[in-house]
Formats: sequence, structure tokens, C-alpha cells
Amino acid sequence: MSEYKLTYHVDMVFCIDATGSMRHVLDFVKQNALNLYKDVAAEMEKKHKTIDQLRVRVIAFRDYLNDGEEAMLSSDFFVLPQQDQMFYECVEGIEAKGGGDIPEDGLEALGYAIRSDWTREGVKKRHIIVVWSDAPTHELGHGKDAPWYPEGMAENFKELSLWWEDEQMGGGMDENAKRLLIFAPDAPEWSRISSEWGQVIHVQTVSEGLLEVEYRQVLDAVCNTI
Amino acid sequence: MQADFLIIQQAVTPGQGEDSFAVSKKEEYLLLCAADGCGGLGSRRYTCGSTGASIASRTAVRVIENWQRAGEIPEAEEAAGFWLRELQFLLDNEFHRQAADLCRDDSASRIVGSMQRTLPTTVCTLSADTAKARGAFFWAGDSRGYTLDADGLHQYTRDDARGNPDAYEGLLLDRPLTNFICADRDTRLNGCGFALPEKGLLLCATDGVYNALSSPMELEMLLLDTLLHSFSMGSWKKELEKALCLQPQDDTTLLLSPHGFASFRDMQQYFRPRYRVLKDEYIKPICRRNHEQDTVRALWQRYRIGYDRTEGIAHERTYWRV
Repeated sequence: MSEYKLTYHVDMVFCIDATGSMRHVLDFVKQNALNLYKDVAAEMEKKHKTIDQLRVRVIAFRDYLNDGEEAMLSSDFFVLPQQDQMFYECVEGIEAKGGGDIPEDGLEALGYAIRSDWTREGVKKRHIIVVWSDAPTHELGHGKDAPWYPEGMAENFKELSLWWEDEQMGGGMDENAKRLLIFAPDAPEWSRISSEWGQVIHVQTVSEGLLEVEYRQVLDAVCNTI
Repeated sequence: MQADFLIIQQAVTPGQGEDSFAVSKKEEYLLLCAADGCGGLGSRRYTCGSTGASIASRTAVRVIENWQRAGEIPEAEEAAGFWLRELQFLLDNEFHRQAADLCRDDSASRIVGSMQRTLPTTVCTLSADTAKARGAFFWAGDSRGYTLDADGLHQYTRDDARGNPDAYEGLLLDRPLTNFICADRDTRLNGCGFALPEKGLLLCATDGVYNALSSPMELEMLLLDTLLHSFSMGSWKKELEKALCLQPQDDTTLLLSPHGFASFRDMQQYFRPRYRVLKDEYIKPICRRNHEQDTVRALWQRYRIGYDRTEGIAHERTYWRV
């Protein structure tokens, strides 16, 4: 009978709020980020789904108006496990500082993440964005006057939604492969995303640890749809 | 034939499967029902210890089993519409009741979003009157209904998946479901009535059965190859279990009922010529080219003509569709 074997290629982009208010939870988030890819891979293995290629990219975000060139820091994709030491050092190197007012530029981070250089290989693939933040977001373009604000960023929430929903409208994510996992409070833009965008899981907390049963639920939600 | 059914069910994690099924045969009336709790969308685990997906598939099967309207398989679209509305109403009531019960015991979840649903499941049911040679599939999601006869495998149910991919493209594109049963919205069942083959197999399957194969042709091969290497329904079941469950990537439920055969041997002889055609014209070329996509796609286009009895393609054996 058939020797056919499915191949799985999984890309993950971790968007981490690195502002001062995250100080008390950043270690927890870092640990979460470092464990998540391993837990996803282990869960897939249990289901006899072997990941042929797993890559992870990290984006640390703050506030363009307050934090200048350190408002948005991003890495290339790390190929894991081959580059896990570099990935570890990248995550561990994130410092909680700056941020200014309470909302942060989380939507710009999401814009960067959506426009990552996603894998096109593998019979089955997943493009997964994970966001950790303890704050609401500014409106898109809030930091436009800052010299470091990126050109070509989505003009507003509607355009960002198009980037997410439609591969042809500037996003570049495979419409069947994409998943968005948000660990953030029940704040306006995050909740709008979780209610309006497809393929989203919103865990409405980042500051308190997830219960084991909740973490299991998140992991199953991600892995059972791969 | 001694056995009316063959049932294959396997969970990825033994004891924690989220599929559910029912089979029954009372005189000439046959029911096959396979449900696949959506493990991603329904990953919430309730205080009763079960996930929403698992509760959902069992609930759907229970409702359908109780409702079963043997001998009343509609002949026309209007009657079929009435038939399905009645079942939808019963499913909605039971899913809402079940969800309300669970909410009483559990606090609101902090995990929300479009990838979380209350009690989500797919389902496919065959109801058939073997005396009148009439059958009906009704379904939601990507659990499927097939028949297999001397002309090959035929899929009657069209998956509720975004963009309506055909059975081959669906394996590659992995599209999200656009419809399934859950407690968050009204149930919308699809249905189609069809003439039973004079001789053949009637099948219901969850996606674990077909999703790990490189093409729909290989599902037919898997069925026939195991059949022809068996000596009884019991040994066929074992062969099928081996073939389907070597390394299960998903919970798997396959329900199968032979129709019109005098004996197991009669069934084997009936399918032998088809097996040879399938092997020579489709499976050998696929294996020779190591499942290379262009080859498989080209062969699929030829195979599809006989295979596809979904709504996109009219077929004389289908007499209503809602």
C-alpha cells in the first residue's frame, strides 16, 4: 500500500510587548515563548505528525513615539532546533522598558508579523502568529510622526484586517494555514480582532498565569487544526 | 451476508477519541452515522472531564439515532427539506440544552475568538431503505458519504469547506470548515437522496479516514486491496484497521455496509475486475512517480468523472439535493 507521508512545515512569529509595564510578566512570557514551539512539536509528534521544518521569528514591540529606534525590533526566522541557541538568546535578550502611555503599538507589530516571509513549502503548512501584551493598542498610525515609523504600514484597522483576511491584499499569509493566537487583555482592538477576524484564538490575559487546563485548550486548538 | 456492518474506529489517543458513531439495521432499514467532534474548535475541557468536541459528536449521534425515520426516505426535494428541518430543530434544541447545562457548571472561558466554538462537530448519516433501493445522506462539515460499486468509489457529500475545493484539492489546501453543528448558531444540514447500487458498499467516514492519503483513488484502493486480501468480514475489518490505523494522525471512523451480495466471496468476485482497473490505471502510475503532485492531479481529473457525485455534477443516481 501507499508509502505516502504528509510533510508539515510550521512557521511561528512571536510578537512580544517589551514595554516597562511587562516587567513583572516578561520572564513568564519569555518562558512561554521558549516552551510553546517545543510543546507544539511534541503534541504533533504524539499525533504521528512529524514537522519537517519549524521556524520561529521574534518581534519585540513598544511605542514609536516614545521609544525611537527601539520601538520595533525583529529577528529573521530561526530554523529550529538547529538554531535554538540563537533563538534562546534573542528571546532572553528582550528587556522590558519604555512604552510611555498605557497603549502600545501592538497593531504595527501585527502588521510586521503578517508580512513575514512565510514558508510556501510542505504538503501541509501552518503560519502562526502569537502575540503577548498586557496593554491595549494605539490606533494604527498613532506613531506616524516618529522618524522610525515604517513606510508601507497598514493605514488603519480596515487595511490591517484586509492584510489578515486576504492573501491578495498585501498580507502574504496562506489563507488556509494562518492562525493568530493572542495573549492580551479584553481591550478594544484585541477584542475587535478576536471577534471580527477568522482563525483567531484570544486568551484574555497575559498577566496571570494560564491554568494547566487552559494551556491544554490553547495547545489543542493550535495542534488539532494542523 | 452474515454481517450487516463493518465498523472501524480508532482514536489517536486511546480512550480520548472525539469521534462517535451509530449503526442499526431493522429489517430493510439501515442507518449509518459518523460524527467527528472538531478537536481544535472544541478544545475546551469542561469540569465533567470531556472536551466540547467529544460531547458534541456524542450529542449529534444520540439525537440522530433517536430521530431516525426509517422507511420515510423522501423521494423529492420538498419532502427532503421538511425532513431535514425537523432534524435541524431537534439538533438545535439538544445542543442549546447541553450548552446551557455545561455553562451552569463552568465559569465563562477566558479563551475566545473565531477558533473557539461551543460543542462543534461534523456529521454524516446514511439512511437507506434497501428494499426500495433508496438512500439519503445528510451531513454538515467534512464527514463524508460514499458508495462503492463496480464503477468505483463515489462521493455524494460535498464538504462544507471554504472555496468548495474538490476531494483532491481539499487534501492539499486544508481549507477551514464553513459549516458544522455547534451550539453557537443554527444547524444547517445538507442532504441528498440517491438510488442504491444493485450491489455495492455504502459508507460513512470521518476525515481521519481520507485525509492522510495522497488522493481519493487511494481510499478506493485501500478498501478493495484489504477486501481482496481477506477471507471474511472479520478479517477484512482487521486488514482495514491495520491499513487505516498504522500511524493515525486523527481520530478515524469508517462505517461500511455491504448491499446486495449473497456472500463475502460474491462481494470479492464482484470487485475483482474493478480492483485490477484501479491498480493498473491509477495506483501503479502514482507509485511509479512517487506521488508527485502533477501526476496525481492529472489522474485525479480522469478519476473524478466517475467519483464525483457531489452537487457540482449532476448524476442520474442522485434524485434530490438540499
